[in-house]
Amino acid sequence: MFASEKSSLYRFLLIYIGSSLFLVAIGLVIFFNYEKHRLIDFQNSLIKVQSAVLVSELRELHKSKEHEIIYPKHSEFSSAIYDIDKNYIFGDFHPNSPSLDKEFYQKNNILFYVQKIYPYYLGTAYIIVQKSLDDKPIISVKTRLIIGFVIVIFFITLIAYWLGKLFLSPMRNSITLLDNFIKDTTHELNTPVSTILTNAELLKDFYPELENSKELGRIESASKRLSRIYDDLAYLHLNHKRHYNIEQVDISEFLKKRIDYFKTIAKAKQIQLTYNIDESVLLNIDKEDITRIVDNLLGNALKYTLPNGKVELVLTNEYLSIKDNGIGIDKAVKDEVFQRFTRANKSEGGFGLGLSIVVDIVKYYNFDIELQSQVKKGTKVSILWKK
Amino acid sequence: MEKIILLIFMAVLLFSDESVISKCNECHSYSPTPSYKKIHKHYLLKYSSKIRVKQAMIGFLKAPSLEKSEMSNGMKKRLKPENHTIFDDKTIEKAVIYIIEKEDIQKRFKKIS
Ligand code: HEC
Repeated sequence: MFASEKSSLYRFLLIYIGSSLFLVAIGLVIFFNYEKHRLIDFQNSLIKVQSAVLVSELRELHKSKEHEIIYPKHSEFSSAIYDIDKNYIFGDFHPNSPSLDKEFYQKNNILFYVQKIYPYYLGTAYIIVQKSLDDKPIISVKTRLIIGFVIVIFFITLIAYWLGKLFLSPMRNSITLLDNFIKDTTHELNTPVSTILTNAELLKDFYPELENSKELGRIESASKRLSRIYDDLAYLHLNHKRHYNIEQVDISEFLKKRIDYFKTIAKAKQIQLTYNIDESVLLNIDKEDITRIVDNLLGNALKYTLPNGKVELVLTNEYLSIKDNGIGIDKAVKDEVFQRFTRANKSEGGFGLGLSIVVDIVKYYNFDIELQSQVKKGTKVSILWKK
Repeated sequence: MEKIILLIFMAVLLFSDESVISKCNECHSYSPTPSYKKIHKHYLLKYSSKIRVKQAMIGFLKAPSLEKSEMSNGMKKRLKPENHTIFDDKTIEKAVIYIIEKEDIQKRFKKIS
């Protein structure tokens, strides 16, 4: 799966699953509350019946001729009686601060029912019945809902994944198509470019009088540029599968060779390419990576410098800097260039592609990159080794 | 405040004891005059709280009338409550308190262990 495809799929899954779960959860919460109220109402109606039983018992006690009265006790509930002025008379429990004005109320897990009676048997105007809420059916509803919710989550995720794949498949196809096209093109580019390059060099060897031919120089520099574009494309394409071959590289020696390579291009554009290279600067790096850095930075400098301009390269133990007096980068665009650094926007040709590769490599080796630029004055790019 | 007054009354009752009620007992200890228990029950059924029962009883005894009587219709017809003996206010009050305390429902409930 491609990175972009993955992130789209994840985003889709997140939104789809999130919103459907939110809706399902709201539904379940409403249903649960409804069911809970139903169960509590049922228990309340039970209490009402029990309270009615108590009233008839009080009536019998009122009629009784006995001086001593035995309070009717029940195992399923507790009760207490109050007179019309809300004074506690008696009971098998003594509620503290009962509210006698509400018919039903609930404190923690205890249900209360208050019944007003008339006539006042034994002086009783209010009966308060207390019963602990039987929450087993409520808990069982809750567990069933939770299990249901988990099953729904499972199915929604399954459907979302399947849908996501379905919607992404056209995108995936076009990405694959594009990817294959670039791969093939890159591959096909290699042979002709190197053929042109070798033959141009051979021509110079065979015919020394062509050594200073402008036309041949242009052919050489153009094909070198093509070859570098090929290198960049190949690098980007194979980067994720590549094997790093990190070794100690004498950057000083390496740079001198690379400058020889770029000399023809500079000459063709009549750019003065100067350098100041400290001897034996050593770095642990993959040769391929340092090649990409140097080729891209030098290539850019030469590309954006007008004829008769100057490009200056400095290498020390601390940094490599490449300075030109080319067109420079506008302040506003400079930020964008930096953005592109981080975004590594590969859709941009030339500049964007090359710099994004440089930034990738710089990040990999924990180097630092600095960009100083002024419009029409030139640009200086430095790579700090941070050894 | 009410409780203190009640306590004082009860203390007075302890000393005066049955002397106040003896006047009433002359009739109320014998049939067909209704017992205090029976009278109290009728008042309780209608007035519920001690204070209200007391007010109602005193109200009747100070000015006995058929309308104020809380007894059953049959008894009213037979025993003519409007002809009830009238006593001085102090006697009435003391006697009524005696009856109410004696028949107090709260005291009659058997304590639940
Ligand atoms: C002469 C007899 C007699 C005496 C003395 C007497 N009673 Fe009665 N009393 C009756 C009779 C008869 C009734 C029933 C009439 C009726 O239906 O109320 C009655 C009824 C009552 C009632 C119920 C009234 C009603 O109908 O609601 C009260 C209360 C009462 N007596 C209190 C007292 C008190 C207190 C005393 C003493 C201070 C007292 N009586 C003394 C004869 C007496």
